[in-house]
Amino acid sequence: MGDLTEKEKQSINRYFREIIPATVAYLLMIAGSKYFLKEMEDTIWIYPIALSPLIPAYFLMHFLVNFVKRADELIHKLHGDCAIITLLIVVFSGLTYGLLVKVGIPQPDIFWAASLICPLYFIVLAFLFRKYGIKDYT
Amino acid sequence: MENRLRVLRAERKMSQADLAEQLGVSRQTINTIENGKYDPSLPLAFGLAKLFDQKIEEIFFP
Repeated sequence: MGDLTEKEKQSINRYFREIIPATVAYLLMIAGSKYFLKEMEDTIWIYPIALSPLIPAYFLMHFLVNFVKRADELIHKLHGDCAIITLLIVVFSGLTYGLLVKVGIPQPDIFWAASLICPLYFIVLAFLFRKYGIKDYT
Repeated sequence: MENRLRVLRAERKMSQADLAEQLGVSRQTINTIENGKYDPSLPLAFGLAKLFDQKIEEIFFP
């Protein structure tokens, strides 16, 4: 983080402190809910368990939005572009797979599909940062 | 969009970090503008014009 101002460094450190635990929690909740849904098929608990990954997902989005609000206009643009590209990839992939399901490809597991959105967002973001020649920013 | 930002900054012996700090943006924003990879918002373009005492069209051109 070579030439960043103290304020920027604090913002990035805060971003990592918030985003990494929220991402890990989200992925664990996805895996956990999948496991517990198999174990508790016939109880009323399946509904809150199925929805439980929404809690870390909310915090993940909340922290990301807060970080983008603290950042300057270039970072606003990059995260905006990243969100649009990620959305397009998800929609196009979903559509492609949905069409293939019709011809016999196995139905995808929505839990694992959902868990791929987070890494996809950060891969697209890394690609955009590389495109703009930014080496030392989140 | 091309610009004369690097030249103007060099004339005043300012670093990208100095300029970024005065305008309240990151050094990366200044760097990407100088390299022509990012076009600044209108408020930032006005900020640059004011800082260098130039018109916007004297700094940025198509």
